[in-house]
Amino acid sequence: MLNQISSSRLHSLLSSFIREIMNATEPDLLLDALMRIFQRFVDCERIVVLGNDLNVKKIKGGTVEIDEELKKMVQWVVDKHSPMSLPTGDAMIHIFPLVKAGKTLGVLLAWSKEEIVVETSELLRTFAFLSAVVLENLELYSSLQRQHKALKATKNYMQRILDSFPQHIAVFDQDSRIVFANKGYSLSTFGEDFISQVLQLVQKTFLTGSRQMLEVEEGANFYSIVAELIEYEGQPQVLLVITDVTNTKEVERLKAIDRLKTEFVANISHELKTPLAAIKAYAETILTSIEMLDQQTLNEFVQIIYRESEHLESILEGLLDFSKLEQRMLTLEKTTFDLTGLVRETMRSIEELARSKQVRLELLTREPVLIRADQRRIKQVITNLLSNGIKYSKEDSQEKYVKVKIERKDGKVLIEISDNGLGIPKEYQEKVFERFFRVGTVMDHRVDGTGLGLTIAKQIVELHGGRIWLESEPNVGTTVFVELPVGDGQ
Amino acid sequence: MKLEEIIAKIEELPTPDPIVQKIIAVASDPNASAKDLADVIKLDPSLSVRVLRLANSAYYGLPRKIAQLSEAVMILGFKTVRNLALSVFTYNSLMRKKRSTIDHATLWKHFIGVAVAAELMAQVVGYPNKEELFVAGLLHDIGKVTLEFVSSEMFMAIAKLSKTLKISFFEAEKKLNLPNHALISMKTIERWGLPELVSQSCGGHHTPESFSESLYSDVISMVHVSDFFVNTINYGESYSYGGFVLSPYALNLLGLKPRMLTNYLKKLKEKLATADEFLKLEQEAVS
Ligand SMILES: Nc1ncnc2c1ncn2[C@@H]1O[C@H](COP(=O)(O)OP(=O)(O)O)[C@@H](O)[C@H]1O
Ligand SMILES: [Fe+2]
Ligand SMILES: [Fe+2]
Repeated sequence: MLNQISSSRLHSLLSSFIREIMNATEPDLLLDALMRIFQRFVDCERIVVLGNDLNVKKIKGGTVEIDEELKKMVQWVVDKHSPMSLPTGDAMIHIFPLVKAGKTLGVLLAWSKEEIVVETSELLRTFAFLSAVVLENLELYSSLQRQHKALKATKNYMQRILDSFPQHIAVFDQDSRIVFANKGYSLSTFGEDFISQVLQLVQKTFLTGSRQMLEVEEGANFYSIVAELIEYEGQPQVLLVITDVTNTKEVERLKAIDRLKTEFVANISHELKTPLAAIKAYAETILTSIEMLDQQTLNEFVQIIYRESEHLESILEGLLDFSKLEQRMLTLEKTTFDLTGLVRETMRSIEELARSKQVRLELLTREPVLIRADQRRIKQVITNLLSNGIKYSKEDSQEKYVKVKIERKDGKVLIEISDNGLGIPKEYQEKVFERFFRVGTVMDHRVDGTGLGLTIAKQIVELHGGRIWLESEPNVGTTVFVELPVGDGQ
Repeated sequence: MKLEEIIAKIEELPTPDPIVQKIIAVASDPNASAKDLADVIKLDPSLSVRVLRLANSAYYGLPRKIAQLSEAVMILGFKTVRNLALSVFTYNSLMRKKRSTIDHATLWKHFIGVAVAAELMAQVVGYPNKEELFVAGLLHDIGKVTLEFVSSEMFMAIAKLSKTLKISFFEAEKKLNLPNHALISMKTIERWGLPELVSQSCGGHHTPESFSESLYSDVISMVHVSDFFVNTINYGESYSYGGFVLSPYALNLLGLKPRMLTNYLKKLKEKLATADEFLKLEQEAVS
């Protein structure tokens, strides 16, 4: 029909094909254009496009059945990249491969009664070839677009999830630039100091390559910061998670204090009750039976009352000290004195308690050790430590002792107070310095105490610029070390 | 001997068989139908038989048998059937010369090797006109045949130099200050009335880089690369003994990566294994 194609007609055909190709924004439209072009060249009853899997993708003009034999021919066309006009009975099937550099994108089949001449065959072949090139680009483009869309959706999805976290999350690159931040982080109003600490932590994570953790106080809030090394496209990055732990911290602290307070009230009332009961009992006896008591007994009773009220006074004083220490109101009154002498004197004043528990007190140092410090406070420390050594002795043990050694060492004095008593389990060796803390076994009031002795001792020692620590083994004994600077007492 | 003198001699060579000329002409006639081409081939019964035989050969591997020439034209295409006729003709002219000092059979094998290789190359790089590459590959060294026809002493001198110095036939021509066979191929093909694409790609097959401005630089490069591979795998013989060069320019132009080349080489060996029918054309001529 269309045997000779004039050059002007060819030109217009080419132009319309190019226009259609350019307007095709997706593979489907391109295939439509290609089918239209085919129909302009060859009078076709039916046109079919097969996909790269050789299944029917598009049909124009009636149904179609591709039998095994035709399928084999189509496969041949695809393998050889050669178009073919297959004679079948009274008609022809023109088969054109849509291939590009070894890649099959599809096949076009056109049923026609018309035979085609050299020129038509060459032209159609060129169109099919061009279409394949464009088709591949379009498919590539749309798959890229799909990928891009999917990626964006995933990103949004992740961002939304991460935004809903109460944590502040950010990812830093090696130049400490933020490459990702969730809402929590980008809307946060951390101070300059805080940010600089964060950046330091990020840098440290890059340097060490290991997970870094930090707790930071910012205003009234506590934050726990965790920085972890991650990798993105071969580049190291740091993932930072900042969690506001103010509430958990505060609740924990309040709970602990509450518990300690309850214990303290129980302890202190017991502490106060013992001397008070004694005073009350003796005073009552005197009141009701004064005429029956001889002078000596009376004297003894009053002595007891006096001693117990002194005891009471000392307990109250301790409490007072403690609250002063707590509020940091305690001031030191420093004088120069002999520490050995002070310890000896303290031992004498506590002798009675020691005797009642059958604990031997021993001072291993004889020579005087001069020190400049607050004498009264240091005595308080020694008293506390000695009385602990006595109080926490083993009841059934024979040779019970508390020994004190004083040593001078380059500008410092080390006092060692050791006993062979109950000892302190490892897990409590730090805790005993906390206020109100008492080791479980003594909580049942078998031993008097408030849980404040070591706390006060520690605060006094530290006020002097010294250190206090202990070594202990359960059932073997305890040694408490007090290290004090000599001051200007030489 | 100068190129002009050789060309003058080429003019004296018998023109291709009139039937072959007609076939070439019909296959390029825009209005020709399958029947037109079949009718011309039928004028030579021996040619018809051999064309049909090739059409049904393992190289094409068609799922169904082709009994008629017009069917062959429709199914394989005008250009392919033209190529089959041309193969038969080239084979004939190559074997006609009985007193020859060279082994035509192995040279023919080289021709077929490069024809198959060039057609495959077109597929690999995505060049639509693969049939023209088949002829280009087939005829790229036809200049050697011409040269041998004009002066077999000259041909043997070049071949000998190539062998002793382990340099290519092309390099030997240069050393002896003789016109190169690629150009003679081009001149020979021009006389046959084949498209310019074919003559040009043969003319430049040893020096693709100097044809960078040519309209046909890509096909020239394809023939060059194909020739290189067929020579290196020793399929047939081209009287070239070493010094095979693969032009980086050609590889670049065609965008061929090393991985593609290994793949290509593997496919080429598979294809060549199916091309036996092209090597045994004589048997048919005898019968
Ligand atoms: N020398 C010691 N041996 C064994 N346990 C001790 C000793 N010193 C202190 N502790 C333990 O440490 C706890 C805290 O001591 P402290 O602060 O002095 O309070 P208190 O003696 O009033 O309970 C004590 O309750 C006791 O369990
Ligand atoms: Fe050559
Ligand atoms: Fe060659």
